[in-house]
Amino acid sequence: MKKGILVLIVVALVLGLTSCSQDVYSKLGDIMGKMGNNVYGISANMTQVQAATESLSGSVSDDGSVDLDKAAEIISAVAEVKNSAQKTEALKEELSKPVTDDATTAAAVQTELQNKVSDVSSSLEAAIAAAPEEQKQLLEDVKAAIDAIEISDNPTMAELATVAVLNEIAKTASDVADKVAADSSSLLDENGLTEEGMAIADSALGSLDTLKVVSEVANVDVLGDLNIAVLLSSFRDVSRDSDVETYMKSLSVTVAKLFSLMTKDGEFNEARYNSFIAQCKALKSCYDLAASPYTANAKKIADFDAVLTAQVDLGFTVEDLASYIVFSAFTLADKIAPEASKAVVEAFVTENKAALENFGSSVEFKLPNTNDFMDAVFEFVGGTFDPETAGEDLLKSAIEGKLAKDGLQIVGVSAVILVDSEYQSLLKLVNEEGTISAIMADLSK
Amino acid sequence: MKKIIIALFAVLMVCAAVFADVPSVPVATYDNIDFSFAPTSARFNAMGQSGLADPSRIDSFFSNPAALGKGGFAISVPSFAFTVYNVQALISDEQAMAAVNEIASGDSDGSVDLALAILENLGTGHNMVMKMDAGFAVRLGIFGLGTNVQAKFHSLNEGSSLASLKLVTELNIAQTAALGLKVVNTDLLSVSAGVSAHAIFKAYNKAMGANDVLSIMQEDDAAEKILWEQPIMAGSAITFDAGATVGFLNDQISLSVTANNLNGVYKMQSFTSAGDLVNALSEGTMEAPEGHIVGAPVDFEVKTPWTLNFGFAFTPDMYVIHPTVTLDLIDMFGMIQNFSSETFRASDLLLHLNAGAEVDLFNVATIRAGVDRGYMSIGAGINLFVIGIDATYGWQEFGEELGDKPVDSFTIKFNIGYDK
Repeated sequence: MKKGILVLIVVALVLGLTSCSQDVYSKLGDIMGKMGNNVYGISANMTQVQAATESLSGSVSDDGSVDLDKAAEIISAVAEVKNSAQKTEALKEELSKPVTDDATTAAAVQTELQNKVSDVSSSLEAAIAAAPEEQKQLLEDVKAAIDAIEISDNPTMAELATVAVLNEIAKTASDVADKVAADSSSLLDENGLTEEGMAIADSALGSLDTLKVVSEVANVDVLGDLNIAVLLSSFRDVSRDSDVETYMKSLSVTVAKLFSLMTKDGEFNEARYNSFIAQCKALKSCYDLAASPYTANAKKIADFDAVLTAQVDLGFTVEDLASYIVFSAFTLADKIAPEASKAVVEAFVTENKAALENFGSSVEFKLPNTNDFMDAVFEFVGGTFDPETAGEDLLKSAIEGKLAKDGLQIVGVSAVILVDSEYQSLLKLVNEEGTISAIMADLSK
Repeated sequence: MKKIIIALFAVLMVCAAVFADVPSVPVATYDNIDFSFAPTSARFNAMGQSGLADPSRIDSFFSNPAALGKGGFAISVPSFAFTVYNVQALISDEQAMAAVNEIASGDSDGSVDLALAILENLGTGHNMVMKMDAGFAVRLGIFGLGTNVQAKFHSLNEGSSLASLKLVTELNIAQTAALGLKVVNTDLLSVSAGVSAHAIFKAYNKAMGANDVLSIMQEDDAAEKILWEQPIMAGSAITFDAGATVGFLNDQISLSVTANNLNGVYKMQSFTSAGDLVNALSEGTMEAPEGHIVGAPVDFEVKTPWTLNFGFAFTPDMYVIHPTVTLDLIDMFGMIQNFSSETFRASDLLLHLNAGAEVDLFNVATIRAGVDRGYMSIGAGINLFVIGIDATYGWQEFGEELGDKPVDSFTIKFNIGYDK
């Protein structure tokens, strides 16, 4: 049937195109493409975009004071435009503009936003102190995301939106902690998400969608350049190792896109790096919060086996899983060894400057020396860095040691995203049982 | 009496116990897909999806049944149409065209590369891969009968990579009966009215993606897994089209109003698999594999919108060449609702305007062109007495807003029959 359909496609295409060279195909493609332009010249209706930016700029008064609750209306505005690619791009462009053209007001807005960030951080500190042990990790990560924010001298609408969104995330995270402490089944029961659980998830997903609009890091399509189909077919036919190699090489494009965000004019830039890390932390917090109804009561990794059979409908895709893993990796590295990880990134950018500027799937990167970074990591987790056992030691730390809470959260949220994207069958490629506890047990051997 | 009640209660308890362990088959619905059914008309598509006031006779079943009032005889046994989407992206893709050339020269290795290229061009959101139609139709005077089978291959992608891509195959089988009457018939003025009823069976699979392929690849018998473990949604509806046409000057100028897809609510059920659907329809002709559990079907509805449309056609009587100009205003209710919207713009009215033109040369060759919501289409046809071939290329909007996701398609239709 498949071949029959493909034959029909070939017949349809070949009719009138037989014996054509690629030049003819290209010219034909150009002519056909021109027919795809709208002859009426009508552009997408940007009324909603204008209303969204007016609402955001309306949250800033002439003296520079900011109403974060009003600014948070951007979240519902993004929900209205996110299905239109043109409107989303137009909104991104509007949000990149400064909040005000007046230098004095800009300075006042900067101070105001920095004060708001401090206030939110302080309130989270109080919430962490009051929260039960199982809820502290989520609150600490949200606080870390907020503490990482740096407001520029001339704040943009995107920065204002980011502070407003993180304020909402902080409130929602505190809400989760309070609700679960009062009743462990308040967010998730045997029938799935409760109304309260859905409200938490919706709030987090709305914040995530908004951050995806304002964040450069979120716009890197981690899986977009990867040839998933080649990878899948290689699982079926293991003799196709060359396909796996091709797939791994295509990772270099994603790596280049990510590291380019930490550079300015081709050179490592500390401010851009700090912004990159801040964005990773903020985005990771949104995923953690959205998955929190499923992960809030987990005490150990084996608790997440239940997630694999849960009904999850948050709208996550496998791209979200890949992005979450990337955000988690950078966030964790910054938490464990902030200076050493920055130094490794700087060394990588410096040694691969030409490759980063001319990236493609044929580019190969040089890996910098990571000994200092690994020493700093092991100083944090306890023990000494031994290249031969480093992987096992870190895994043990992630399961039972100093990284246990971070490990628990990352595994749990990843499991939720995996189930939502209906890719649980991937786990059976790693272990026959296909459960998280079985895989962790294998890895620990 | 007491014994009867106790016996009934016992029977109910047993039934409940039996069905208590049978899981329900989850329902799969897709808001991004418009499940309305209409057979492919290459002529209609080439003319910017316009021509309500002057449809060709076989097309009248699904656009304006009032055209049956003209009477006459036409037969199509059969017609086949094949539409492929995202053609421009494929033609511009060097690797894809190299794969096409490989297949055309007899080398089947290019089939996987071509399939991948087709899938990669689908992008985010809703798109279509291809559509296939087969039909029989006959028109006898004011009556029309037709049978159509259509398979549509939709794609849905909530992410941006192939990993999140899912495919939904939709099958429609429709039986149509139509009637059209010319109630006023003078040289200066004519008035026709018509109605058609369509009994439509519809089935589609639960969206299948790379993750499902992965799962199937891990099984020993992939074909059996596809046949017995992929959920299918199936159901039916009886929809109606109604139309009225006013003609002037021997129908050289026509004005029409049509209401299409009335009662477009499909009563559906979810089935555990295609095998279980066939068994439900044919009382168990297929043997299920050992251990196969048939889930309890769940009833649900798929609602498809109806539309109110106006059409204009100018078909002057000329020798040698026969030109036709058509203008249609589509979805009048939607247009009126937009008037009251805060975001309404005057230019939005153009989004409801389709226009087309056709020139028929010697009743043998036809060239067509049109504009559908601002996107161009072109087409041509050859009519060799009993064999007709029509081809169309055009664009249409698949996105939320005009310009978000324009998608092109190429249609070729073969028709064996008589249609004058």
